[in-house]
Amino acid sequence: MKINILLSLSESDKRLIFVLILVILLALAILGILSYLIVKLIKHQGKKADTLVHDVVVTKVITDSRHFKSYARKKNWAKFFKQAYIPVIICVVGIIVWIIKCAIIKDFSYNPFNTKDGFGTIFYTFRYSNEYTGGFLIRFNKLVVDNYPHMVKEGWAGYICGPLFIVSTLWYLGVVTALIGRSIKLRKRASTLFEKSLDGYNQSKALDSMADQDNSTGQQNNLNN
Amino acid sequence: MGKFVKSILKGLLYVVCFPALVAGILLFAIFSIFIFLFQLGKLIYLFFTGRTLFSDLDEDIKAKQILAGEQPKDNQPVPSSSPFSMYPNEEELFNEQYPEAESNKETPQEEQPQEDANFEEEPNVESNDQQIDNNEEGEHEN
Repeated sequence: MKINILLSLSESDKRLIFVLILVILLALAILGILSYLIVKLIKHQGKKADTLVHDVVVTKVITDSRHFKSYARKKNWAKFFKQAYIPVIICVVGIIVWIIKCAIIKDFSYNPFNTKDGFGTIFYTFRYSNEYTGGFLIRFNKLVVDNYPHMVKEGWAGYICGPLFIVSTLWYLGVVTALIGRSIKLRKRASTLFEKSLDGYNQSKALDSMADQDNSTGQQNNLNN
Repeated sequence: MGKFVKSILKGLLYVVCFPALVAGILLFAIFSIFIFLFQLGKLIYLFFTGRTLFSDLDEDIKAKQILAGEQPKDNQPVPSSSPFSMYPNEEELFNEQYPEAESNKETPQEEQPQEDANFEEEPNVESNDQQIDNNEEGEHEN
């Protein structure tokens, strides 16, 4: 049995497929790079966790895993609070501005990122039109510009709130990533710092070496006397 | 070739793990809000007790004292540097209680009978007292 599938791709279809493959590859690359950067950031922040607990471990003030975990959690959370209070304050300022705007227009459904009188007015925005583009096989709705960057007087709250919310969110997520990194590192340290290993330990050999030492010290004492 | 395939697979792993990573971070971000609120409550409570959230913990204070070469103020034993010693910091404790012994250790003397040492010390004390008396008399005369 022979199956013949005939596909007649036009020139524009071929171009579109090529562009689509490129876009997919680019998206995958961006996702991979983002993921790689997040993992790197977590590992980098984890290295800083040692400075939190170094002194108490070196001076042997803490000598067991449970005590270490409790101490490390306290220090880690305090460090997180110290790092996070600035983005939280920024976010609170944004919320206050948003509440003032809502109180003025008497509408608490105001979206500070909208494209009518919000932060979105200063960006290009696009929408799909009813017209089609592409070849015979693959067709898309055409993308058209919905909004050209411009500023309006009514959008003052959006211009303040929008950047504040974006900055505070990104900052806070960075701080959370640091918290995750430190937590992972300290958990690892808690399990490895106080572990006792018997790998390569042989009791009879150890006893023999102790006996040898005793003999050698006894001989030395005899010689001294 | 092996390296290239390995890096490709690693990249794919990063791409596949990306949604899980983002979801994990977002979940932790929600959890961290509770941590923040808990720390804020603790900060307020500590403020009214005259402390701060960032002040040193008991362990930090002990560690700092040890690093500065002092003995921790509370009488809790601090582990010795030697893992085989029976009592923690026994040498330091002994030196603190008997500083004379430490000074003797620095300038070792020949072993002498205990009685002889006592006989030697007493005349010295007397001679010192006599010297002080003589000096006082001299001052009165002047």
